[in-house]
Amino acid sequence: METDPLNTATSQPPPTTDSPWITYLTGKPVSAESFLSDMAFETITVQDPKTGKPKKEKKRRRAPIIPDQTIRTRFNEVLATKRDRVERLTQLVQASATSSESIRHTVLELADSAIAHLGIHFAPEPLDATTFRQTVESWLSAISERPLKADTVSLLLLLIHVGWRRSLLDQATAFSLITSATTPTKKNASQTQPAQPTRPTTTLLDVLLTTKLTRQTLATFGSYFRETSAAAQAQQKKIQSQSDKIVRLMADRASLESTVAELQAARNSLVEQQRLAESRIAELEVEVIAVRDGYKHRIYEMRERTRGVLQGQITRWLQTALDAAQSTPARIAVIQERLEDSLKLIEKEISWLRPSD
Amino acid sequence: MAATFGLDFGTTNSLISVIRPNPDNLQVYSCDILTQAGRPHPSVVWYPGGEPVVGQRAKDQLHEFGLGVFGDIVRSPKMFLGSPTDISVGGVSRNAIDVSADVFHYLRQDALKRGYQGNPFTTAVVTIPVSMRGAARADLRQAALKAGIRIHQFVHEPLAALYGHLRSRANFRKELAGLDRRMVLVFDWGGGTLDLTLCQFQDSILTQVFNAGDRDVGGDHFDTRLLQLIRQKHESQHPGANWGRLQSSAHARLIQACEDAKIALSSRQSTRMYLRDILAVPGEEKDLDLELSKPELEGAVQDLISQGLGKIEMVLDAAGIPRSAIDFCLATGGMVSMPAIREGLVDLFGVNRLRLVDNAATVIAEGAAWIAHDNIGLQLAKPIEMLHANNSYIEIIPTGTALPFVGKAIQHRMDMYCVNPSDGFAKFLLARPQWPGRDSHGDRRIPYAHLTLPVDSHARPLQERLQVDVTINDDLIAEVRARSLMRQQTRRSVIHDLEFGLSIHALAHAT
Repeated sequence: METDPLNTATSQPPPTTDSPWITYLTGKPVSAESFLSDMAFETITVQDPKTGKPKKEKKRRRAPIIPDQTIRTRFNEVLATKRDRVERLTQLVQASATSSESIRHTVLELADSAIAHLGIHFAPEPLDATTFRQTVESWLSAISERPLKADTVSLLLLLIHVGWRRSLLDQATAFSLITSATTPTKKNASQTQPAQPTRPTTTLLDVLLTTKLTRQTLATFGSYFRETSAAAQAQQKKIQSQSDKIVRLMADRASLESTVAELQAARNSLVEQQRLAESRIAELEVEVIAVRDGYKHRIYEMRERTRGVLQGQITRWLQTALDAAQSTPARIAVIQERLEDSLKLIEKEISWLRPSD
Repeated sequence: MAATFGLDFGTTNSLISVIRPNPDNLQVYSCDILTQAGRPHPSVVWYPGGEPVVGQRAKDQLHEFGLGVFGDIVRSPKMFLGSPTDISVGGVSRNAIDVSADVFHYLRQDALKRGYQGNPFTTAVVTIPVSMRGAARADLRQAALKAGIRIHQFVHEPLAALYGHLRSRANFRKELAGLDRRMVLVFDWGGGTLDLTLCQFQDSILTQVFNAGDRDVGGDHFDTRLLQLIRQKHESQHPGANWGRLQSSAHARLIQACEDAKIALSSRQSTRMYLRDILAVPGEEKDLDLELSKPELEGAVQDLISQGLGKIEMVLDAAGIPRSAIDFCLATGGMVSMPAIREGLVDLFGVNRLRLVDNAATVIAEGAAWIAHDNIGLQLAKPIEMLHANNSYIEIIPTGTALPFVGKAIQHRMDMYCVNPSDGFAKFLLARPQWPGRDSHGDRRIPYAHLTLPVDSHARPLQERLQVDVTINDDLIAEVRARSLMRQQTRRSVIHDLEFGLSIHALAHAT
């Protein structure tokens, strides 16, 4: 059941002495860095071995001052009562970045608990980036008024800090959430839509100049500019290198295209040559068949003709000559004539068998 | 190579021929003749029981000369085509189409076994005698079809011979051009018949203008005379010789001996004939042993020679043209190798105008193959005309009309009105000019067909419309159908003797 954290009555009695964590919220404003230093170190009085006089010295505590559950509950209750206390917690989260692991962990746990107490529940556990983003976006979209009220902005900044520290946010998502928080609703936008400027009116310098500048802020911006400038220069070099590479690649591409065109032309020429060759092969195959069949026919006809002559006239004439030789008396004239005719015929037919050349 | 081939389905011999690239030079085409033992296939079918025997083996069974049926042997089945009655062969009734189909089948199988790659020998240009009528042509087509041969086109034998002769000459185009409007006599003296055909080149159509044939002077008659002469000489040598006791094997031997004697006497003055044991008798007379001289042979057949050569003058007289108008005489057929006939032809035409070809036995088949190769079509040689009421002739189908190839037909229609229906009939006379190119009013006509069509006798002159349809089919048979549109009567007549010739336009592209 949702409860209003600012109006929730507690049945638990207040502690007799406030924890430093609660005092940080309720007391006189102190630097978050200094507070966290006190939580990690203690000041003890020691005797100076040279002078023998007592002197104060900072020493890391054996264990940091970790709030127990009671203190945490009280911390949440106190946080909900005043708007600027969310900002103080946010500063704690911000400052814990350079603290020890245990302090950083403690602060984040307190922040998680406080966020939940303020009505923003992340589920399921363990929390992942998508769930975190969707939960914050859902929370923001449920708030219709723009610009956001100061306490809502404070809570949004706390969420962004926690998300960033817990690596649940990337830069783009963080800015997206900020944009979403600062963008007017569509209804209002349509009514007051001015002409779009051609150039952004807000620059990084504008952001810088509207920020309450501290030495640390400036140092951070300085560091940011150095890094971004170096990155920009590196990107510029990379772009230049890539541009040079693109030019080279384009030249290579043009050269390759030219080569491809030449090869294509050569291929087309070869394909045409192949087609002509295949056509010629087909023609030659036809010619081979024609030549083969032609000579086959000639051989066949020559054989038939020779068979006809031998089996016909020659055999018959020789048989007649033989009959005439075997008769009594032998018919010499018949024999002579048949032999003469046979010789003439053989001589005539031999011309068929002679090579044509 | 599924080339259309040439087929000479001759009276005595048949041949298939194919035009194909010359293996010595593939750019030049030459004609292959598919012979048997170097000779044409005899057009003889023997039915010994079982499968028919065709060709030389069948011819070897013949014991006598002549054409027709001899026992169980049919020589020249072509002569029976077109007859509605069957022929009795060895006591078995056979259809002339089936007998002819046996010859076609034999020729085709012989061609197929030669191994011409890819040529199934299914489409042919087939030669026919000029005198072959439409019904015989239709039967011939059917016979070929039974043997798996589709007749692409018919062509007349003398035209095929002339085309084959000219086509084989090196300068044939020039020679053809020079023959425009000239006359050529094709003199084909074969074993069965003598055919004389007067041909003319007219407007790129090679056509026959006059044709005459003689079956009484064919080579078989010469052989018969020669056999009689031999017998007479033998009987004079042996007065007691009994030729009634001729040995059974002697018939075929004598026929062959006559053939040999003719060949011998074409190159020598005399020849010695000797055949042992031709008579089944004792003594010397059983052997044939005699000397035969060329004068004796020529004396025995002189009347036949004179009759044959005399046909030339008869044809020229009938055609009304002098011998000098003949550009040349193409002499073909086996008989023209006989010296006496050659000399007679030389006497008539002189050496320069007589062309005795070496390929006399095959030139018709060669011509058919060249016509198939050159894709030479047939055209109507003379117009088909109709006699008009004013005694003039009006043209129904013009000269030069391309005639249909296999499976096609052409049709022409003419509409007219009956001039005088008073007797109830319209008379039609279809005719053609006697001479190609001479179709003016006064030129002589030869009738094709007469029709008498009933019309309405009560109709006024020029009232009843008449319709005449002339359809020519791939057998080159024209059917004339006349119809009276009022009386609703139809009469038909068939023309079997259309005059057609070879269109030589295509020669310009021939290779």
